[in-house]
Amino acid sequence: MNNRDIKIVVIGGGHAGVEAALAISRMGKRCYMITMDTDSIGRMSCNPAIGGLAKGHLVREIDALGGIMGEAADLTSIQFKTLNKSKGRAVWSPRAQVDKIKYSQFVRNAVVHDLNISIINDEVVDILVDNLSVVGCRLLSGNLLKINSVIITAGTFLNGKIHIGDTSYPAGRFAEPPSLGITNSLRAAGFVSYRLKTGTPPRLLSSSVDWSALDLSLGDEDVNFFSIRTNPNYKVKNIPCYLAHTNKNTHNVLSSNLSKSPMYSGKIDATGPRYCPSVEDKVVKFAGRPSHQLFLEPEWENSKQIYLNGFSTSMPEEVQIKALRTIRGLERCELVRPGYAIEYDYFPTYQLKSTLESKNVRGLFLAGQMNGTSGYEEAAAQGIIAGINSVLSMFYNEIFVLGRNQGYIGVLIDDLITKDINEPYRMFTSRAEHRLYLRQDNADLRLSSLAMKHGLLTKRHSKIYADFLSEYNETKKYLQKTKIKTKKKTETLWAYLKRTESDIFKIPTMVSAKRSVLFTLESETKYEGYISIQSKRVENIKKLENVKISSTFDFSKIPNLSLESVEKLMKIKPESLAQALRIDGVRQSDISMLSFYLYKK
Amino acid sequence: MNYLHTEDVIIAQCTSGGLGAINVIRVSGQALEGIYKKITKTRKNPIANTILQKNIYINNTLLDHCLVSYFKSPNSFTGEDVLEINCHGGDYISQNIITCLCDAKLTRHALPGEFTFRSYYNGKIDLIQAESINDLIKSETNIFANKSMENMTGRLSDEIKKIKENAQGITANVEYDLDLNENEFDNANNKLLSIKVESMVSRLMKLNESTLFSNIIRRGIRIVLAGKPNVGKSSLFNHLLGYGRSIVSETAGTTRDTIEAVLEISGYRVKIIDTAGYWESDNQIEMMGIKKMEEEILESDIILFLGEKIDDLDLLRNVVKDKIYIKILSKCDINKSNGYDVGVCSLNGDGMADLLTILSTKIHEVSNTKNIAAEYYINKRQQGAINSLIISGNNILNQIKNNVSHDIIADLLHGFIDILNEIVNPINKEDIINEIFSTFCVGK
Repeated sequence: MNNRDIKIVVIGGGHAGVEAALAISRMGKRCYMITMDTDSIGRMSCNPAIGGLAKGHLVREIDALGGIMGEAADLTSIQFKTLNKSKGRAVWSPRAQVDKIKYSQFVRNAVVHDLNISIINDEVVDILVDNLSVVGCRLLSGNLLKINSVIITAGTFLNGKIHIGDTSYPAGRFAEPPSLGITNSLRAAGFVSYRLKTGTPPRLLSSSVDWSALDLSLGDEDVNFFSIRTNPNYKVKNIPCYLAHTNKNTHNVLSSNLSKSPMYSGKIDATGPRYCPSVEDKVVKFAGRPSHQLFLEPEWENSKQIYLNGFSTSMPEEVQIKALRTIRGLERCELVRPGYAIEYDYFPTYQLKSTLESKNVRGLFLAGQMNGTSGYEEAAAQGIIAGINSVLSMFYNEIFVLGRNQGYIGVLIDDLITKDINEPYRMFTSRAEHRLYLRQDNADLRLSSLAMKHGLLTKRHSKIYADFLSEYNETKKYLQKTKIKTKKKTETLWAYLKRTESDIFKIPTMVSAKRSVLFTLESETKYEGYISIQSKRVENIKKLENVKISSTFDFSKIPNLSLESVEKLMKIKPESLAQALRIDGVRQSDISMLSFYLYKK
Repeated sequence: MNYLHTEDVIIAQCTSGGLGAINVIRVSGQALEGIYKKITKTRKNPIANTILQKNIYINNTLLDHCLVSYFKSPNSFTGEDVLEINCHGGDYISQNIITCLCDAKLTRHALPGEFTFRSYYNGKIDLIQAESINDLIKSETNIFANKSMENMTGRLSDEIKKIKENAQGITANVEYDLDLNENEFDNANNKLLSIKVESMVSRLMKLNESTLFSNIIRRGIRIVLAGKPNVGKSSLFNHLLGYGRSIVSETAGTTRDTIEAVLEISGYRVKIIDTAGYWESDNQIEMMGIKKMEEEILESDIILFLGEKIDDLDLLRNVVKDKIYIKILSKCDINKSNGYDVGVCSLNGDGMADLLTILSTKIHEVSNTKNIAAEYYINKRQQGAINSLIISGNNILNQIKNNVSHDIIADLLHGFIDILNEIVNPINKEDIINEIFSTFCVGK
């Protein structure tokens, strides 16, 4: 096949890279994927789970756009659970524990067998820019690729360094070399970068754990899959995972050895993710808590390696073992691999547009953990957006940007390009002001029609979605027309279902309908009222969105703005008043002044 | 009105004009050193926080010999540079200075409340404090002035801030549960949440209790003198005028033949209305008089009813319903009767002290105030917001009681906090801002 028509390169084969490449392919275009190790495509570096609180929403949306993450998780899961079931449908978050090996195999196969993706086993050492546009990239082997668009998804590999206690050495991930060269390339093109750190927990040897002393945790019997492409009757295994608890002794061991932790001894001057903080962070910051929960998750079915969720650390190996052996059930535990910290280059995202393309260099896209996020799901979401936009900008002069009211993906990217992040960004439902509308049950309805317009859904996916949509529309019409007589009054089924006690699954005429259709409709009517009550607030936010700020606006012109605010505004260059409001550290009174000033124009 | 031309230098006379010894002219803008040097014909920059004798010139014409003070941004009322000129009194001099400076395009005339607006705009005061400055200027009584002063120093703002911190704490807890707590929901959480929200709503309702008090001290209390012709209403009226401090600002006359006076009694602004003109000896007109009196009574807070014998009290029974009243036996030197609260004699002043004591009690009864120190002054805008907050808070309590899920509760709590923000620092509400500041005086 003639490779001269390939104009796009995806650097990196992680969660962001594969979504980008596969999206490009579905849109009918070709790309190169350059990876330092073909076997590592789709690898899960840390937690053997996909989804979870707020992340589950992201996976559903990635799936609605035709991405692979949801389907892969469904088909390789060993335990499936919907979290937050008791807290309201807007925060229901599906989570799948997966078989790490099978998951990455599934993803890797999809990429390797895709005719539109040309894999190159090599390392990019330089990105060539001419006249503010990408013109090519140079590989370690000496080859030069003449392309016009680069999507960098280098994850934690850029000048990566591993720390375990006193030992440190260059690495992108455990036992994988780092990537050197790209950072310099980007710096030369005008980018700034800083360092971030993320931790990973130790892996325990399964046979060294006293399972009888631990609490059992099982998944759901009735599974709520990520993807509508997955057969609802598909039988998922329900392999248990177990809980352990730290105690005072554990905390003592850790706090008395803080000087040996690279984070605390000052060896790394990077910040770590606050939301999966290292266990030494937890012990110090939440000193009042007598105990922290730990989850023991098998890395794959029947694996001998147990991932100890909640115990990220960069302490020396002896300290890790000593601390772990104070825990009930782990008194004789052995490590397969110690926990470690990895430090890497990251690029503040205010340097990018909402399409994830660089503000300064045409054709250059950055996506994934290197943008300062933490989590597979956050990376994949960026990957798919970058992939779509690289095709749209190159071939169609269009853009694909989701608003904060369309999806968590919209919230994610808007937050990234607006906030001045000094610690890794993780998605939370509270970040979405439209949370009541952005539920995991309506992700397809929100996004798939749009996805179809851009050719992002396969034929099979389109058909399944079209069937879903027509059953949804018919059933909705039925509910809105049909009346029900209760003791209190006569009303449409749609109105009746708004009450907390009403249950759509108990309505006799609904027995034959698809469960997912019914659930979505019921959620929609139950939340309709609350969403419209909040519409005034949303209206106000919309008004602020419509107050645009030009990219050449000189914030220093506004009198009496605090210096700190001017700095932040000039750095981030918000595109609207609403975005300016979301910048951390800009005071409310500064925004008042800005709004007056803009109002005048 | 457009308050947004904040790059303009503004000027206004702050003192109220007419013949006084001194007038104060205030100028506010960025970097006024140039203007200062120009009008005082000095080469040196002004020293902040000093007051110096200076001549004021325009185009080499000496305008006046003044005391000039200079304040450097941000340490000034408006947050910008402020130049204040204490010039000789009499409108001609001050107006001349202002006109010359404006004609020379060095300054422009300030809009009503524009200085206070800039103080707000520059983050020196919040909106509640800004409003209280206007209240302070307009207050005619001791209580109102005190309460406005309290708001200016932030007493009301602080209370709102505490309630907001409360609300934010509650919301943060709910959000923590939704976002960071993998454990499923516990009903005990609902109970605790209810208690916290209830306590917050109670705090708001306590604040709301000041509504009646606030309205009363703003509009004043209406006291009407009622009774048959020649019973002694006018005499009593005149006597009362001697006891209360007169407030001269009241505009004279209504279409009815009443005699009114505005005084401060017991710290409140009180308007006393004499219905003397209602009565004629002719029967038909007497009926009209009674009707007019009834109307007057309806609009009043306190009725001072005068009678001379016990039968006169019948008139009272027919017209007074749900009103606070004092039954006064007039001309008590010659009249004796049961059924009256107090007897007065306008000739020798008997009973007046007792009457005033009872009147004072009734005045407090009107505003339902047990402890003035605990009350707040809350204006209409703020009352509206507090009402909305109470409705919102009670709605949240209801939803919690109905076991509505916490994703929805969190959303309602955010709406609640939005209303709180609106009271103190609204964003993108230029229309409200205009409304508020345009009621100020020029010069403030």
